[in-house]
Amino acid sequence: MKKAKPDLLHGTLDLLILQTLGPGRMHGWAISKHIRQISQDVLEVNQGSLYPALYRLEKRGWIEAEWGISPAGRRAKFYRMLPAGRRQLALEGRHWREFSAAVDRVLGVSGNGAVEAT
Amino acid sequence: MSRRLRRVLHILLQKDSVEREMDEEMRFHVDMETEDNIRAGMKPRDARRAALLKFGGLERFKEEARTARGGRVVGDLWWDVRLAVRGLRRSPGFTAVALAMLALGIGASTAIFSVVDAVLLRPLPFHQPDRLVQVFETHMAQGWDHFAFSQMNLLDLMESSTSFEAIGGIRGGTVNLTGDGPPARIGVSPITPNFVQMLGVKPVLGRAFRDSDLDGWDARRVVMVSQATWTSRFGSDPAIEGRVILLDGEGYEVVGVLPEAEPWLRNELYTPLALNPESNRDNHFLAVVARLRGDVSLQAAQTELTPLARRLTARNAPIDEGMGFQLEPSSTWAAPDDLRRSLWVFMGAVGFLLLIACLNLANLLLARVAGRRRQVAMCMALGAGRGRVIRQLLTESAVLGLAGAILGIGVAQLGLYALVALEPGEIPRLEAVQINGPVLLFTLAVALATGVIGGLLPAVRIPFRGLGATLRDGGRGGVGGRSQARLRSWLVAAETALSLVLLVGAGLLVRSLIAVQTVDTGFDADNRLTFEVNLPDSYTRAGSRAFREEFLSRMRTMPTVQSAAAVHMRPVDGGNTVMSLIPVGETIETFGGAVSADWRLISDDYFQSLGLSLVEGRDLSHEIPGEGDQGMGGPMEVVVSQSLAQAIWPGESAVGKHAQLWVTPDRVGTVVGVVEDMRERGPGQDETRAIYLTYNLDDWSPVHFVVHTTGEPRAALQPVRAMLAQIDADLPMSGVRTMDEMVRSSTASRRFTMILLTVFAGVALALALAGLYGVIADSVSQRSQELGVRVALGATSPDVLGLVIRQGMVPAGAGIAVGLVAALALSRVLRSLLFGVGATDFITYAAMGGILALAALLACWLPARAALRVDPVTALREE
Repeated sequence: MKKAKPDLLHGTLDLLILQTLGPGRMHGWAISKHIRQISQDVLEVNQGSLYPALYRLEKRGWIEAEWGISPAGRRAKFYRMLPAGRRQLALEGRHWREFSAAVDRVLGVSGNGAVEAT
Repeated sequence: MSRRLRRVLHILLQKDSVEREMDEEMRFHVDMETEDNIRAGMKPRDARRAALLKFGGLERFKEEARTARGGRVVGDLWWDVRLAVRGLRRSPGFTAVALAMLALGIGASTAIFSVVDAVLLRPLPFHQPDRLVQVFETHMAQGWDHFAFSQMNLLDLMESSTSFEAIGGIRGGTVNLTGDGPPARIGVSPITPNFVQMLGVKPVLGRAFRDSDLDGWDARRVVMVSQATWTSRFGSDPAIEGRVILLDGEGYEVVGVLPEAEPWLRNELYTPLALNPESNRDNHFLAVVARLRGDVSLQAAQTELTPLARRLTARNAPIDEGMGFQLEPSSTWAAPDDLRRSLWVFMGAVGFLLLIACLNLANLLLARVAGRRRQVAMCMALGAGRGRVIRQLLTESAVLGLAGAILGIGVAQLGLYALVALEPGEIPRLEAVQINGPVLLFTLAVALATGVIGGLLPAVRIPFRGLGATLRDGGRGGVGGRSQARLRSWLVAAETALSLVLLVGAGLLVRSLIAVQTVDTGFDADNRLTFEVNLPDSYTRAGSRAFREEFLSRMRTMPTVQSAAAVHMRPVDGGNTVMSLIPVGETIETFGGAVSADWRLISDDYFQSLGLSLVEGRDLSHEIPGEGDQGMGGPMEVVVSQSLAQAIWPGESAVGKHAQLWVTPDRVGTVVGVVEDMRERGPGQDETRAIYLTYNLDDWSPVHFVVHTTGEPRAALQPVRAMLAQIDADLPMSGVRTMDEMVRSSTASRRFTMILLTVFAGVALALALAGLYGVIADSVSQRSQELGVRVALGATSPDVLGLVIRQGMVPAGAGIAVGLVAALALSRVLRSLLFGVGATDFITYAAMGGILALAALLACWLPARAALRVDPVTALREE
């Protein structure tokens, strides 16, 4: 059995997607793979959440989608951050760091152990 | 904002291309994952399978992605409908039962609504009908609140009142039409020349009457023809204008063709009516219609008329003593009061029926949702929101409602055929009733409301718990839970209450009909042939008498005729003439008000022909007493009915007494006999006070004949017709009916109301019982383990049966109690339709409550028997 992975906290997926799209445009599969790799296989983005999240972000005007050609030469839908998304990223990033620091303080963590996921 | 708008439009309008894009994106994802897996060393086939597994069901993600995109109302609705139809097809039993119920409920309400729409809601065919009123005389001392006008009072009203733009009068009559085919007696309505114009009805052809049409009447008579008569009798002759037709032997020039315009213009012919300022003030036969002037309200006009009536009666005393004028708005014209009330009663009944169908649908859906709890939990685990699930369930019941409506329209059409076939002809324009646009809108609204209301309750009652909890405790098949069962019991109780109200209503009508059919009418209706003969003006009083005597004596020679008689208005037929009278030597004041009585001109043998016996004295001599023959203006012999004799001379013998007929000193009636009472106006009406005079006093036409035959009365018709032709070939015989037929048809509309309400009550009962049956059957199957344990612990069969039946009879009993109270409150609306039974008749309430209780017991007992077949061993093993 694979190691159980922590559920993504509500709202963090949007943050992860926006962060991933920071440098440039990317298609859905690449986004999920990027998050998995960067988090060293800890964070697995469920496809069932990824695409609804992408459409949601698109609807809010934070990212936009366009059809392009993938590096492998196939037609793929690419997502790109919009200015509103950049502002949102900055805002949510700050919230997350405050939140995470607060949780750390409550748990008295000094860096000597991983937080157990519930 | 505009970007977003464009996006929504793009999605709404280009659903297919959006779907394709989504497909492509998902496929791209799976392909990339597959390649990744291959690079990681998987075999291609495994790699693809792993990628698909990881992705999960493609359709599911597309659906979730769709929701996230938003702006997809239309697409989602379509998706929901497809899902709903698929779900319904998967449970055909449930769907069939639900559809049958809805079709009945919606069909019945559509059929009745289409009649109500056509009869009561369609605007009257007049110009600004809300400005039109009908005017009645009232004579409250006699209890008459809707009395016909005399010509004199109409003339006075026309002269004195200021509230009206126009006042017109109309009366009914008949004439003999000769020269166009065989002689026929047809209906004619003399109308004041302004009548058609006042109503605002345009002639189809030619012109309406003018005041000048009355000038030189004997030189040039004019007539208008109804559109129907123009078509049926004159072949829609476009040159009918100017054509001369023979009415009662006189030539009349046709000046125009009038369309039918209920309720005033529905006769065959119309002639201009000249109001005679010299006429008898005591002769009331006119219906009066008026158009209110400018912005005068009905109340304002009524306020003017009350003192006006008082002034007139002061002037004309003692005639019209205590008379008043009463205005009625045109909204009462669409149908007679009784019919209007019946129709609203029907509408209420189908409303109840629909409500019961609605509750039953909710009940069925609740049971279905209980069985689908795990499915719902699974959907929610897969990401469907609560709102999404509720929407899906509502879509399902709305789809049911709409499908039920389509079937219901079929049911309504069949129902209308049945209505037309059953209805005795009281409802005007019934053949023309159609399921048209407004009716379809009504049906659609009813169907959606039924579907949504029926579906809302189960939808909001869904236990929205996580998959885990549901799967954990629902392991044995998803019991609906206690609150679910309680809710279903409440629904059954409500259905029981509603159906009991209908049952009580139907029961009261059945009792009324039985009372009407068994009531003693006083007369004998068996083997009595009746018909009318209309005599033209050329038959004077002497001619009329000679004709009657000749015709009667010829008929009496026939071996099959036991007796034959003439009367100016036959019983039960609806026509009536009324007089008021006081004893000689009294005044209205000293006697304390005049007594009113139906008067009839009769020939010899009239009582015998109807099977009435004289109680006292003798029959009329048919001679006219006094000096000189003054007809009905002088002294007369009379026979009075027992009740009239009682009213005027209580405790005394009436024979030999004298009365002032029509409260006129010159018209003295000498009582020579007293005859039994009869229900002159038919079995559904009270006995009437009657006074009989000899026909020889007057030339009243048409003459009605009553012939008592041995054996089948219609067998005598041919020879009687031949005798009539021998006397005068131009005399038409019309209105041929046996007394039995007249009595039957006088109760026909009562029977029709009874049948209709009984059918509705029966269907309601069946629906309520089906609901009860379903609840108990489900409960027994769900409680089988519990019941098994009880049996294992020693419960006997009666214990188990009692347990289950009690579960059904508690809500049924509550429903019966509530239903009885509701029926007590609502049966008041039936009061005017009842006869010989009170609206709170104990026997009816007890009987209907009892029938419903027994039926409910049966509906519980049948499924409860299944509980006895529970094998405790099996039940415990399952446990």
